[in-house]
Amino acid sequence: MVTFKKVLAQSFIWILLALIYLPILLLIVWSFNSSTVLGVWQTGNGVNGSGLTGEVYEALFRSEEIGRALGNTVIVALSSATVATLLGTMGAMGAYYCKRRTTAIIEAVNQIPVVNAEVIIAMSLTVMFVMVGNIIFHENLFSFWTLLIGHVVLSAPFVYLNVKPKLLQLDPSLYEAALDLNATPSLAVRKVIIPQILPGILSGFMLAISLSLDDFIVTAFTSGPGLLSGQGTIVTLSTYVQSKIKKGPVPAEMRALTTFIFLLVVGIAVGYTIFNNVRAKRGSSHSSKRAKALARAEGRR
Amino acid sequence: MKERNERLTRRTRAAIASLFRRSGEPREKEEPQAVQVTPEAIQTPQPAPSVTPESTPAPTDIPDADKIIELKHVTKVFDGVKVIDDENFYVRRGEFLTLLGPSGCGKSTTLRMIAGFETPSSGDIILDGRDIVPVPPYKRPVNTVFQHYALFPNLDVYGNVAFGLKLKKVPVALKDKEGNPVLKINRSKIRYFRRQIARFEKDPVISQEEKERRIQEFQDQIDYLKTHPEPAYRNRKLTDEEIDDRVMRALQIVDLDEMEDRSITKLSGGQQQRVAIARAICLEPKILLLDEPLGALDLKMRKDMQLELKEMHRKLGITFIYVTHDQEEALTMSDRVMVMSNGLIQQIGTPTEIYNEPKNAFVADFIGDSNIYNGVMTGARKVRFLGREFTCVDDFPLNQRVDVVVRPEDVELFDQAGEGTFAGHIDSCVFKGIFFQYSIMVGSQEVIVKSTRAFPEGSTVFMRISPNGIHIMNKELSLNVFTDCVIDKHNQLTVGEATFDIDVTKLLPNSKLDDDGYLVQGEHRYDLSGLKVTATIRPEDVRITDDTSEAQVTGTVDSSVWKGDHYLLVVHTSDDEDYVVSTPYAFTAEDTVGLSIPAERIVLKVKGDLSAHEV
Repeated sequence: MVTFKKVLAQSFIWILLALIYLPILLLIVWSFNSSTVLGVWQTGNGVNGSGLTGEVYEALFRSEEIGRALGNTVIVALSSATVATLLGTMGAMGAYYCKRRTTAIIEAVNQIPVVNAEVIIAMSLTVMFVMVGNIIFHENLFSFWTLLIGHVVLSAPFVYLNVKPKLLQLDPSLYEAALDLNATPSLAVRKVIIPQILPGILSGFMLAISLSLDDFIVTAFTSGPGLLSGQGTIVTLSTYVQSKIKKGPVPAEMRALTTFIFLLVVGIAVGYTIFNNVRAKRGSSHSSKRAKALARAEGRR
Repeated sequence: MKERNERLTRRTRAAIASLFRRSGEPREKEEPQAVQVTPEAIQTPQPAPSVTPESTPAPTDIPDADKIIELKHVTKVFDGVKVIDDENFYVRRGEFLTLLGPSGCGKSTTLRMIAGFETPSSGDIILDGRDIVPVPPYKRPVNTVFQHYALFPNLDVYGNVAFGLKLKKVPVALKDKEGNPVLKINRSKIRYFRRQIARFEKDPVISQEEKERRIQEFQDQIDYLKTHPEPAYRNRKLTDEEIDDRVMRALQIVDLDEMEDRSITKLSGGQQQRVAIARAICLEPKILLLDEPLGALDLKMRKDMQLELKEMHRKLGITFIYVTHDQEEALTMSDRVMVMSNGLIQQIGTPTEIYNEPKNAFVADFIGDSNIYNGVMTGARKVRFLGREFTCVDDFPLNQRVDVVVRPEDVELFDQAGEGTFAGHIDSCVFKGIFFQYSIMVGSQEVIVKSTRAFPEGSTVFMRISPNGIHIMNKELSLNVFTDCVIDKHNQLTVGEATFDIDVTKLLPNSKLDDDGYLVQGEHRYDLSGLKVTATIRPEDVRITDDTSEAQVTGTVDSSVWKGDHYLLVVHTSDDEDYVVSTPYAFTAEDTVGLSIPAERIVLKVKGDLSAHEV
């Protein structure tokens, strides 16, 4: 009976892992084939005519269109994630120090965009931008800035949700302890509160980036001319792919690009873990620092 | 183990000695500077005591120079409720003062007001001759050891201790090329007085004339400062060497100098406690505030730390203000103890004064075990309680009603009647290790006795109380404390012969009554009938009427005192209970009156062991 349970538990894990990673593995394999039709392995070229070839990667690096979309995506993701992290963190800290009633209101307001359908956010923003543009500015507002606002609106509530639990874990007297030890309120926040909630802020930032990276609806509704697209509407990876598959099959270069992105993400995750482990092991040593300073002083003498 | 302890103490002593040796010289140079430099230091004009007779200090008062801190008429209002009411006390330079009281008595609020985390609604806090109420916590020369240490987990031991030192600023006098002091308008002093004015404008307590007078005083100071430049200063940070030196000295004092690189999370509770103390004392505060610092430690550790803290206080010479609800801790460690209840100071005194001569029933009940009875003075140094007359050492007017305290260890037990003895029936006997604790019934009244002699339960014993063992107190007038109340089988509260329909679920958090009338808390069910409780009722919660028909309690007015805006009456009932009542209306002595008390205003505390009532 026990072994049966074990088998069940184990198989669940393995099936899940297989469903997540097998397709990615397939994608990586297919990125080394230049077939334009999915599922048909094109032979005749590459290593010994087996079809294994880097042609797709070559095409990827040559494609200006993809390069532009990638650049736009990165700029929008980084800038919107930065703004959303700032807003979300400030909001969470503000709510934490508010009266209970105010906090409850802020929580409720923050919750709505999270559960709301993205298309509603996108539509409502579009209507607002059109209205404001027509009535106040008398011109078309759609540009990088409207796109940025759209992405910030999308991701700021998630940053809030990431930071809030870290604040709740905080010892409430830490802030007072900092004030007691000569720190002004702003120093106390910078030196004590921020370091404590930094993991929450970082994970909020990463979440904001990934939300912005693969967002399609808000991007499609709110983007206008600007960035690397020049006078044309800003194209990001998601809108680029969408425009391509509307006309035909997914371009082969996309397989290479997604492989790249996947490897990048794996790299960041592994690197972050290693960095943390090394930092935990290293630790700072005040005694050795003092010994060095002493040695220096001796040398001077 | 013992050897190690001795070694550590020796090391500690050496470290403390070195602190004084090393800091002696620079400190002396720094000291006079520090006094005039403190940018906001003010010389409040002192009224000459010899001229105005009202301001001559009372006999118990001490000169202002000996007081390091004094709270004057401090009142704190939270959401319309006065949690601290007109608090006045001072702390001597170098003293160890403990604020003692049950939770919610205002002791922590008092400490937080001194630290600067709370601002009094009214009143002044004078630290070394200057009112620090408008000074933010990060500029006050006091430091706190927090209840749960509040160490910074992102920093190691060294980083925690160095935190305050890295932010500390030392003022340095500005000199021009010829070496003369540079004169500038002192803006920070002006800001200080502006904050004072803002504070007094919002003060809800003091009278309009007082308010205007104080504000005018501050305005005059501002006008003076605006036209009279003062020597200017710039602030310098401590150098890395100075910081390192002071951190290491502080760590040596708490015996942690070999742990400087440890992460905070890898320390034991006791070690974290030491880091918290080192972090506070390395800033050389004028007063060290300790907010129940030993509450999170286990018993053994707590005892050790008590002695160590006491030793540290003696060697460092810093004034300690210590907050605790543990009366034993307070008596062990303090030079003086301040007992608080309901936002009022009940008594301030040395541990022996507090224990041997409690001022009122609350203090007697809170400090140690005690028997408290209603008594009447029947002659010169004669008092009647427990149905008989005793000789005592306190002199009170004839026929005055008093509270009598007898400590359980002051009752002698005999198996045979003798001179001055009286009989009682042993109701219960509990072996407590070095003594037996008896509950002995004399009629309907209970006497708790601690004795080393063994007597069987159910037997009759003879008791004697020597005159020195009887302490007589004035009747408490600020609070009704009924120490001998019982919950009856209908879950009602009996005070004497009166019953009150109280909500017994308030006795235990998260509890409720089941259908059988048992109190249920989680897994436990309690039968409350016969449970002994202490009931406290505030005089202003008692309603008094001439109409005795609908009242819960009837009695006669015993005394009436005019307190400025209300009368404080003592109403004596036929069942020998006294109620203190606050009322705006006048009643004359011997008037028969009715009292009613809203049940939800009665504060209850379980007196005996609740587990004995578990079903």
